Amino acid sequence: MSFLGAPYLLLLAVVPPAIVLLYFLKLRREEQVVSSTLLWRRAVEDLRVNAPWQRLRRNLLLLLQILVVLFAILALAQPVRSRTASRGRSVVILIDTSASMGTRDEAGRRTRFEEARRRALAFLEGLDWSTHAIEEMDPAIVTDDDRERMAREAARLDALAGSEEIALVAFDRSVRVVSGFTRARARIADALRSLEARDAETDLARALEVADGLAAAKAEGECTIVLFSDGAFGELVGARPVRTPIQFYRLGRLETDNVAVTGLSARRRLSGPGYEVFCRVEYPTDDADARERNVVVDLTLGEAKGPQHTRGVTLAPNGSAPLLFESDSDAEVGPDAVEVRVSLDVKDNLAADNRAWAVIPPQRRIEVLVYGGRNTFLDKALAGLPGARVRRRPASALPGASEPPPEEWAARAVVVFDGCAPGRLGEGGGYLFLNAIPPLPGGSASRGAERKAPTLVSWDTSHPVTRFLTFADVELASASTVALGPGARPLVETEHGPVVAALERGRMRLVATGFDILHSNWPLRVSFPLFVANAAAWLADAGARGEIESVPCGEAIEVEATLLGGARRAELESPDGRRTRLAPRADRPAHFSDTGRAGLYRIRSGNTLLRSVPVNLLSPTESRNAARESFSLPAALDADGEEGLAALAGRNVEIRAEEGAPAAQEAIWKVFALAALALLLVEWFVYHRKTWI
Amino acid sequence: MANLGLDPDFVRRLAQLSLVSRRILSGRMRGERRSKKRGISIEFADYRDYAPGDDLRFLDWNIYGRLDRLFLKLFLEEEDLFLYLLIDKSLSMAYGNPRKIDAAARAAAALGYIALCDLDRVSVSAFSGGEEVSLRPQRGRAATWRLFDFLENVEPEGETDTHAAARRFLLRNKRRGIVVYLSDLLDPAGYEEALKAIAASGMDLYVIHMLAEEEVDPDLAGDYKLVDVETAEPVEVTASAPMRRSYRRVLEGFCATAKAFCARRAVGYTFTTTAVPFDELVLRYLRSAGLVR
Repeated sequence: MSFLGAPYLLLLAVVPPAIVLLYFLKLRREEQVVSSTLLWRRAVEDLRVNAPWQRLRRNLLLLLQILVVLFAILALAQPVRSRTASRGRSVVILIDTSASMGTRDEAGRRTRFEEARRRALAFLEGLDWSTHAIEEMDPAIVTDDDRERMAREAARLDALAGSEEIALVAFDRSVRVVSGFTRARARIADALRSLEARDAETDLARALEVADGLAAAKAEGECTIVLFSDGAFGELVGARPVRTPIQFYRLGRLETDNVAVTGLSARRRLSGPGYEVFCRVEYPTDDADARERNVVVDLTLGEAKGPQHTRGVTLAPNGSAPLLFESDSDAEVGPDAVEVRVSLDVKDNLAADNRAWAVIPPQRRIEVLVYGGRNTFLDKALAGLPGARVRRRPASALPGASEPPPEEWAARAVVVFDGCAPGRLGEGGGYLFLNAIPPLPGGSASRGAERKAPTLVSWDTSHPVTRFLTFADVELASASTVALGPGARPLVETEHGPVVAALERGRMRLVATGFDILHSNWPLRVSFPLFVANAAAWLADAGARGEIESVPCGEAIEVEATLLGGARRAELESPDGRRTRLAPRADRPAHFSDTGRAGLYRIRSGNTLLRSVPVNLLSPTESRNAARESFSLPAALDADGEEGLAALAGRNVEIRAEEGAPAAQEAIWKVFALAALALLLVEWFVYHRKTWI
Repeated sequence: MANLGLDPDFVRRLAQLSLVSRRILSGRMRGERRSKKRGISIEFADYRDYAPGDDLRFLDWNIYGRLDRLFLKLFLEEEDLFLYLLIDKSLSMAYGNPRKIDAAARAAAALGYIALCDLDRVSVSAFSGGEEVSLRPQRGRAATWRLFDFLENVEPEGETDTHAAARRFLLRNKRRGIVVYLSDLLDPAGYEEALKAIAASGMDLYVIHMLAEEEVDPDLAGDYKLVDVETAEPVEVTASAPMRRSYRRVLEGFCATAKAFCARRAVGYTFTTTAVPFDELVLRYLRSAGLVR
């Protein structure tokens, strides 16, 4: 049994002693003069000797009154008891930690997540556990060691009794199996208590997939998924059918009031000095009576205390407003990277989406050195690079294999070899080989046979060089495959093999193509100048579009060894001030995945700030934080039964929110209230019959 | 002041009674009672061997003639009787409605009257802790009103100290007689020593154990702090039914103990309450107890 209104139990410490006190006051006995107390004294002693229960009987009224109060307070504390009838069942608790769970539906009350956690804990209490009391023990008396020992023992007993096993999965954008199936309830409860809502989006589909996977280890029909969520996760796209039954407990209100920043990017102007900060503010609402809202948007640059720019914007319900903060001069931002913070001065129920961070990248001049003959298309593409300085050298100026590479090839310059190749390459630097093979040490790079009119079959859209590009409309007259040896990454492939590949080795990056662009229609396609710009940026180690990309909350920050320069270690400072050591290696970048809080994650080496990485929520679906009563999933395939047919027909099943508290519990306050009433009647009877029974 | 409440009719009925003593006591004057003293009355009592110096007038010459031995004829001597009325006048006797002291005084008045009518000597002592008031031995009907007057003026005061009272009484009254002791026997120190002392002195002792009706069946229900009227000692009592039953048991035990104690020492014992009309007490109870005939 557990209590939903446990604070009421504090009354127990106050009321019964008060009754006893009143009893003492009440027992100011009537004074009566008698001839002698001799016989009375003996009678009292006689009674004490003969009837040990007499004292209790004497105070029967007091006893009854205390019982009445006890039961009344217990009823007030809303006791619930386990209703889980079948033992040996397993439960996967799935708890939503996404940003919308941070919504405080009523000012001063719990957030949705806090409520979910409370209910999940109550749910835990409601299950049949022999470990029940362990964690309630006074920490002053019971040490952690004792507790652990007892928990082990209790878990052993539970195992003998075949009681329930619980797994705990927290999810937002990422899905974390906090605890696999266990009977150690205290561990689950501790894990639950340590969870917090994060600023990330929701990926329920994957969470259900993981939970279903966990449940698959159990016999069919033995496991249930208990989902605590507000349902603010948009439609489930690409969800797979879930075979395990789901109990969905909805948190939060169905109508909300939330204004959010849903987009933010900051960059230097492509031409000339100055910056542009683009920001999008939305007012998603499901409230039919919602009115227009005036929102003040503040922009803070760098370490400034107050906002430098402030804009007012009026938002219609479900409307959005784009805002552009810009400047023509670098007076405010200087040449280095500048942190940008946008915040809404507004009162709504979700604070997490009222702020967003960005970083204006440092001024950068890309030095481009081109070896080879004239190539108009290449020249034009290079000329379009923002802040790039292009210099040409004839192919004859290339150093031979015995000569050292020129100084100017050093890091941060991009060297383009158009149809020609040097005798050797330096240790660092960025190199673009067009229709040429780089002279890698050991001859690990090679070129395949030339094929006529190959078809481009696939391209890597995730690599910074070819990100967002399509090669579907590119045709080549002829091409040879390019093999760059170990660590190479094919970017564009024909049916015979890669024709564009990238390689990163130590402080050197290079991209090589195995065809002549002039014998293709590529220069006429939009992907070409973008490819050149991307390649130049990547090779010069800059962001693909002259911006520092914001990382979505919950996704890992990747730190490459090149960022550190010569240093071997760096520290990553989270917005809350925590520092984590990172040690990326040349062949394996370090990842930092604890990005649950939005804000700027600063990578430092000693006292030098290497980079600020903005981590943001920026999610319209998450900001539309009205709770939802139901969501639909594809029906599970069932060998026999309607659901199976439904799945075959591509139908969805609707998961509706359960009513009230989790099903494992049953409110039993009425029993206590009735008991209190009955006792009150007995007390009344006894009071009147007291002297005659 | 004790209220005797004697009505003339009752006084007349009292006159018809006469005291009877289970022992034969010796008296100072020849009265209507046989005395233990062998004397010159006409009623033969016993023989004994002649010892030199005996009055030769009482030698039985007939026996001498037959047995050739000298025997002395003994006769019982009739004497008047001493009746000592001992009244407990401690504060506890003021309890009850009517008060125990009143009932005791009335019983004493009745007994005293009967004794006076039979030409017996009557003396009254009313005592409490340190106090004692007494009426010198009276004789004859004429003393009736002195007796009544004395009894009317007995007022309860002080604590019970039965033992001290008995010692004082025995010191002052050497002559043997009937002692009627009217008390509630509620002495924290115990009444046993006192009764033992009186009985041992050769007195013919009767105990009239007088309790108030309120003590026998207390009308208490609820929580009380009972205060002893003499010692002011409090006892906290929740007068529930079990408690009342327990009290009743204790009371019965107390009376039974007193009765058994008296029986062992050939002391007459009569239990009465203030609810028993005193004439009934005198006429029936005392007769059944052998105090009056």
